[in-house]
Amino acid sequence: MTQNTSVTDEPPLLEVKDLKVEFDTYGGSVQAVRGVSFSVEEGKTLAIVGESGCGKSVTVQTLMGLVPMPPGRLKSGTATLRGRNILGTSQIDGQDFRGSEIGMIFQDPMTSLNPTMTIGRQIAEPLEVHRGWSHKKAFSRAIELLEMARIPEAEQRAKQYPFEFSGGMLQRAMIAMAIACEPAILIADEPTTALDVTIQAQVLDLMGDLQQDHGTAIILITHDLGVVARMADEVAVMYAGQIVERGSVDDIFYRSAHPYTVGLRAAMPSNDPSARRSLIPIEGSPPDLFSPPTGCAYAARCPYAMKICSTSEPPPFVVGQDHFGKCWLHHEEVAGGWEKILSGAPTLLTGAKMARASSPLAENKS
Amino acid sequence: MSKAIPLVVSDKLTKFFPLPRGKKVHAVDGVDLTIHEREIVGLVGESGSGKTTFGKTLIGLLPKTDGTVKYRGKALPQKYGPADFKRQAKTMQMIFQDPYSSLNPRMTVEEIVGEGLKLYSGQSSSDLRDTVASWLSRVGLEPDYMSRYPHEFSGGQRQRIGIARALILEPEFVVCDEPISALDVSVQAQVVNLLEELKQSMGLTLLFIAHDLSMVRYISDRMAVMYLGALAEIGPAHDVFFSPKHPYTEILIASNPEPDPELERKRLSTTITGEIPSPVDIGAGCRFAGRCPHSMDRCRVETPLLKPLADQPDRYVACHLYN
Ligand SMILES: Nc1ncnc2c1ncn2[C@@H]1O[C@H](COP(=O)(O)OP(=O)(O)OP(=O)(O)O)[C@@H](O)[C@H]1O
Ligand SMILES: Nc1ncnc2c1ncn2[C@@H]1O[C@H](COP(=O)(O)OP(=O)(O)OP(=O)(O)O)[C@@H](O)[C@H]1O
Ligand code: SF4
Ligand code: SF4
Ligand SMILES: [Mg+2]
Ligand SMILES: [Mg+2]
Repeated sequence: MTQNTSVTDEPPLLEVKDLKVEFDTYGGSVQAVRGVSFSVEEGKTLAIVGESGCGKSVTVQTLMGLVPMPPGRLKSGTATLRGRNILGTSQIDGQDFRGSEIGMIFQDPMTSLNPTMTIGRQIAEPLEVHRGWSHKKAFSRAIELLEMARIPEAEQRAKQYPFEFSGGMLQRAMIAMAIACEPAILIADEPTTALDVTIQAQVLDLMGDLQQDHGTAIILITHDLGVVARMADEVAVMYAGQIVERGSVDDIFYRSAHPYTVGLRAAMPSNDPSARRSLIPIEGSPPDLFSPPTGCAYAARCPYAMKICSTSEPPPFVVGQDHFGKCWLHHEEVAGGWEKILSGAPTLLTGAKMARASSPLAENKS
Repeated sequence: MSKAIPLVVSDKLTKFFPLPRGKKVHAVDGVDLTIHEREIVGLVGESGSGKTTFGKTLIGLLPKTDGTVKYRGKALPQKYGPADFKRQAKTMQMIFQDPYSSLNPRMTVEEIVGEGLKLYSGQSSSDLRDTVASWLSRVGLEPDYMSRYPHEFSGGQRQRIGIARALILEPEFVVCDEPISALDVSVQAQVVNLLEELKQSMGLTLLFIAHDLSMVRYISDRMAVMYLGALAEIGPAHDVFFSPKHPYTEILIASNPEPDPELERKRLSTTITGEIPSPVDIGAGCRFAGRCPHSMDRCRVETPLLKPLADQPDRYVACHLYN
């Protein structure tokens, strides 16, 4: 990859600023996304991780205009694709950017595929719409795409309906659909959750190849920190509708700068054969998004919480190049500061290496 | 495990799905598996290898093409009628893989989670409400969510609604189909701890289908590996994970991503090569032969049977390298 000079007049490929999304419900309004800002660059992968329900899917679905409004409501924010607004519209210059410029792989394949249409037709359709291809040409491309996504018997399978596919095959069919028009940005919401690790590896390779060949930017939402370690250049950690830490993948794993990120570590099983420790979930539950706390959203669960944490929201403290943590422990007046307080505390990194030496297959790959 | 009592026993369990022109998908092809009381058996394997179909056929949600399933020594019907489902609801349950399509969009969370209890327990409606509330908090959801509808929840929240719905009847045996895949690691830990606690307190027995090998290793007593409708390997979870025997298991375990960027950067591609297997035309020989780095002439003609290893009789492998 070529080194980009950072001072250019080119607007970023995708830039999101201060996005706030609410849902009006029965019991009040749910503040699902509370001021999210990020940008993605060509050829790079941004991973978004965070607790279940923290607003990851709503964030990306808002960009794609997929959040029904009402009950959803865009409270503030801007989002631009190469400098052009994409919020509240599905078009740039009269062209639908969804599918052609931004492709999306959804978390729930079953509800985003049409159950009454064959898989092949569903993949072919955007090619007919965006590229003006003939029925036949689009369908044979659909078969090729299914093959690329490692669906066996692609030709037969293309004529089948979603219910005839296994969970993992549906996910791969969605990937075929999302990349059909070679979009500049691929948003993948838990794209490999339903896949076994060998097919996951193939799909991640497939996404990686696409990125190499076309400079596609990828926004990857996942709970699997192994997948993050493998794919991400940058990582945003979300909690209760906000990005609480953002940095390079190494920053997040080796130099974690937020107690929530650190807390994830203890909850994961380790791959150390001698370790039989129990999993330690983070105590307590996430805050009520009907009335989020005034201070730090993590305060009620944070083992390091101080007085100020419950009264004022921490700003994003810059702790390194392009690395910030939204936590008061980084404030210069905090005695000892982050390093002292968390010294010795585990970072996200799983230190234990797996005892795989005995496997002959593991040996020939390294 | 000493004195293990078999709870669910499948014998040559088979499930085919018809395809046009007389072809069929061999989704589950003669699987023998014994699950003991209070045991957690992890089931992993290639996607599309038949794990969900096996789980559903095991508890009667799909009629069997062939083979039998015994529960506490009694054979279960080949095809279930409404009375069978009703009788069985309190003993066997399933947590479904897809938290989206398995929840009725027109029912509130309270109705979804409480439905089974209402049908099968005759609790008064205020007791029912309390029970629903307590199960929601056990899976880490606010009881206040009861009056909301499924579309108001995130993927992980819906998955937990499905978990509460299955467990509220306090069944003896649960097929958990990817119960934690949509959850963040902290909530995963919470659910896994809950399942372990229920195993201790209610004697819960589980078939735990998942793709997260580290988690399956952690929670399971034994780990079974499925490939193209058949079992490739089964044994104590720790042994299978740390010293896999079947070549497919080796590749599977070696592909498990590590939460460590440096290790991942050093990793070369582990992608399996070779032709993609089809569950439609299954010929003689080993199902993995087309992709196996160790395949021999014998592998293409003779189907390997699941047999105990000579030196580790609690481990079974279906591969000619071992006999
Ligand atoms: N239509 C809706 N009405 C009310 N609340 C909603 C609606 N859609 C989402 N929410 C709420 O918004 C919050 C964010 O949801 P979102 O789906 O973005 O979470 P997520 O981070 O993707 O979680 P997961 O990892 O579980 O998929 C959740 O608390 C959810 O309950
Ligand atoms: N109703 C159906 N009709 C036709 N074929 C089906 C049906 N259900 C499943 N199959 C096929 O049976 C095979 C096994 O599917 P199954 O869903 O059991 O796999 P799985 O191991 O659970 O996969 P995954 O890990 O992707 O969920 C697949 O080839 C699938 O396409
Ligand atoms: S700001 Fe305070 S409560 Fe929030 S994460 Fe930091 S120490 Fe914990
Ligand atoms: S039987 Fe042969 S082809 Fe099959 S897994 Fe063993 S060595 Fe490989
Ligand atoms: Mg989501
Ligand atoms: Mg399945």
